[in-house]
Amino acid sequence: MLVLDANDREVIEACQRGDSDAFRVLFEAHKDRVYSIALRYSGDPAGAMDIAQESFIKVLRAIGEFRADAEFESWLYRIVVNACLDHHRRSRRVMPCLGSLIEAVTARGETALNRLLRVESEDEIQRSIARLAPEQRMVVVLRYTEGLSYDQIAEILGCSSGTVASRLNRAHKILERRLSHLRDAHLRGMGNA
Amino acid sequence: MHKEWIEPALARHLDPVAAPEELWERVRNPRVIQKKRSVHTGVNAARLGACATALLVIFFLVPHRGLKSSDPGQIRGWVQAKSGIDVPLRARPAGVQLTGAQISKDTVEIAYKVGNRDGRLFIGGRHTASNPRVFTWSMHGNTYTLECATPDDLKVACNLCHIG
Repeated sequence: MLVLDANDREVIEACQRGDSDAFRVLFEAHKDRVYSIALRYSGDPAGAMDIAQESFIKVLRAIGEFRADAEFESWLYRIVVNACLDHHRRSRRVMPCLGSLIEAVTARGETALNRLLRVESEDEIQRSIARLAPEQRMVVVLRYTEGLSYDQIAEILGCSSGTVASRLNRAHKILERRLSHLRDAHLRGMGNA
Repeated sequence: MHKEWIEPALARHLDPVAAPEELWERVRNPRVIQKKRSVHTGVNAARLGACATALLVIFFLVPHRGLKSSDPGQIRGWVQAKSGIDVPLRARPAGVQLTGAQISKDTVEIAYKVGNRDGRLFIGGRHTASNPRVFTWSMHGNTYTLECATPDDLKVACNLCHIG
């Protein structure tokens, strides 16, 4: 797994002693990671804020129980994953990204129509991801948003690497089927990139 | 086949993003923002917010001068870092279970248990041997006071720093 350097350990130890400045440092170091997972899992900026907020409050509440010999990032990932799953159970729905559609019609440097089509395509991908089973969706997010290996994902989710591979493979096939009409456009986009 | 396009498409769509600036404000003050979508979720959020606020108040306002740990190495390092005193705690003291340490104005206090009975090792301060449950000595310019629930526990507590 990812390894903390000495400074991170010092920060964590300071948090365990109740140092509020240290908690701010910890927050700044990990806020993007936490929010990204929350957003990519929920597909909803408001929901992502709720999940990220809840995750950091859990970190704050439980930091005293964190063992110095454990991997902090794995511990943090587990908290975020659980917050995502709890949020999913509570909400049972995914809000469309209206903000991105509004952004589309105010875009610069790209025609509004092209951008609207691109945003619509992105929203379609997001909606397809949102329809995946929670455990498949989480594997997809940890793999593509965080770039984690199968072993790392397995450790966070408490399952085997084989299970991770299986869930990811099933998710790929489902998404490929649901988004087959976007295939040519994506391949053209990759060719132009 | 799906590797041709779905994986790059997912990587592009699911790339990391920056957290909004207001996230810190929401973590620091959980009652701020949070538009509620229903009365039910509003009540739950109010409960969550109240609990989180209480936790944050405790975290930020209550002075934290203690360490909860059963690890002799961690306690030794923490005490040395906070007070400059190197207490030679043994890695596995027989019959004694460390539980933590704290530092007050002029005293380091290391907490332990012998069986289910509490004991304290004080370094510094004005603790003197006044009964069979307390033993005081000086070492490297510091006064050490071992305090136990029973005289027998005192013999076991010597294992904190000594062998047998």
